[in-house]
Amino acid sequence: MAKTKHYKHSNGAMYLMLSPYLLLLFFFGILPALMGLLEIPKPSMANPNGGWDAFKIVVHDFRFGPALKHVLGFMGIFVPLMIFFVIGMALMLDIKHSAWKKWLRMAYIVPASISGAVAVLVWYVILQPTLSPIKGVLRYFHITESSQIWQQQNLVYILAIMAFFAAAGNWILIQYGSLQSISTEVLEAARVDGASIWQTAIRIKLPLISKYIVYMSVLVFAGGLQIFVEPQLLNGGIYTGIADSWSFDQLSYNLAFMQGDFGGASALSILLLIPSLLGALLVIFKTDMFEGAQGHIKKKDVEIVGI
Amino acid sequence: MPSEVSKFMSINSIWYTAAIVVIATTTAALAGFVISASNIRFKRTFLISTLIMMLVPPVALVIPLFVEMDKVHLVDNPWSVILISSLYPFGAFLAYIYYTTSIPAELYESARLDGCNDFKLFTKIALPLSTPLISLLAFFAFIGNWANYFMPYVMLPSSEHYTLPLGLGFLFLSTPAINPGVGATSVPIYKPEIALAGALIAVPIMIMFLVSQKRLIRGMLAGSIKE
Repeated sequence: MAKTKHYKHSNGAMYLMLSPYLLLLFFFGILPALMGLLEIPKPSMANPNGGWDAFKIVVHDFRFGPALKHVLGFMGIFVPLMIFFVIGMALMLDIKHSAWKKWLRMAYIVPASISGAVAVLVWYVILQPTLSPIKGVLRYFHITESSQIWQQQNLVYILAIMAFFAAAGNWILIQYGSLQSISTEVLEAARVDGASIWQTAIRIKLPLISKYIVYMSVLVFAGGLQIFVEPQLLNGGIYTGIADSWSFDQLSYNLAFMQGDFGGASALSILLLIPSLLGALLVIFKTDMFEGAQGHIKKKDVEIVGI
Repeated sequence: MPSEVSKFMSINSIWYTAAIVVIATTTAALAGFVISASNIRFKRTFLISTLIMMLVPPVALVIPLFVEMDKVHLVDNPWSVILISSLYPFGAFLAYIYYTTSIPAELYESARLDGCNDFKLFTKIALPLSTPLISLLAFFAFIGNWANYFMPYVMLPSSEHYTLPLGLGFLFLSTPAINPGVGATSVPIYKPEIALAGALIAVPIMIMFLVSQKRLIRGMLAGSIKE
């Protein structure tokens, strides 16, 4: 009885402390998701009769197919490159007494500081034959004019490189943190059994951080699907028209703000949410990463959760 | 970038980011504490929705967010960006993990027996033990918002509200130094000025990384340090 009273008393204050976050979650998370859904069937110029045909209309838009092709090509490079490079760098950083550690740290900190608009600027300079600090390399590949670089068929590669360098640093830091959480007893036992650095990395460390790798993969996938800033700036700022509606987010932006078709833009947003949500559910229910959400938490399983 | 313009954009960037860091860090730390230390209802639903929000990129919701902000007349008002960006589900979950693993439930129980109410439980017990967590939350909130382009781009059409990343984007659009398609201009902006504008955005992030990386890894590992 006393216990029940205690909880009743406690929970009022607890709800009060939780309320600022709950308000943000409701107004800027749950409500916009519901509003997006309700916006879709409203009549618009593209969908004069209204209804759920908005999905069909947006998928049949002449820009949807090219955007799908671009984004798939971009993801095909960006996602595997991120996963393999981040894990490789984190494993190298985790090797004790590595003479390269200091330089490896700089190698992820510096690019991680250069994201979004700055990344576009930096890569513009790097890839501009007249300005580039790697003129020699460009010349080796017979690239002497910027028009050889800034072509639509090259954008998939250029944007994948830009996004990769901007995103890899944070993830290296996080995966390095996850590797630090592996018990030294386990690593010592492997060393005593004669495991090499390579075998320890592949057979001991990777399986132990596998859930964080799955988690990172889902977030990298979801983030890649939403590429916007880099193609938008290239399109408007550097080579006008080179990347118009290049990605889904640009198409969604153009539908809403250039054509006033909020229903179509919302339909596209919801379509983009589906793979991200499936990924989220995969992480929540198919890995033990978020056991705390299932009602109990194991200390050993929650050493670190990345971003 | 003429100095006055870069000055107000810098001021905008600093105050928007500072407000976001403060609101996001405070709300996330409080939420994590409540979920770990209380027995409130719908805890599981709350955690699952937070996890889903964590994995859904905010740009996916930008259209309905714009409509929502338009309805409350906050479009072209910095608070639209500040409030939207202050939702920090990753921070809330990180705080939950931190409090669950770093502060034993027995500590809360003894404090309660000693007459601590729930507010004091946070301010006197949890908060003094939260320095690594607060650094971590503030760091990621800063990194995520200082260079943010998309949300201010959509929500703040007037140039007086521009942030440094928006200003840099505007430079791309309006100077022949980068975009020959613009043609001649009287604006005295050339490549060195644009590079300087880029450095204004990148250097603070770099400094934050350098200053806090050791503390960050320690903070992330709270609760299960390698022995």
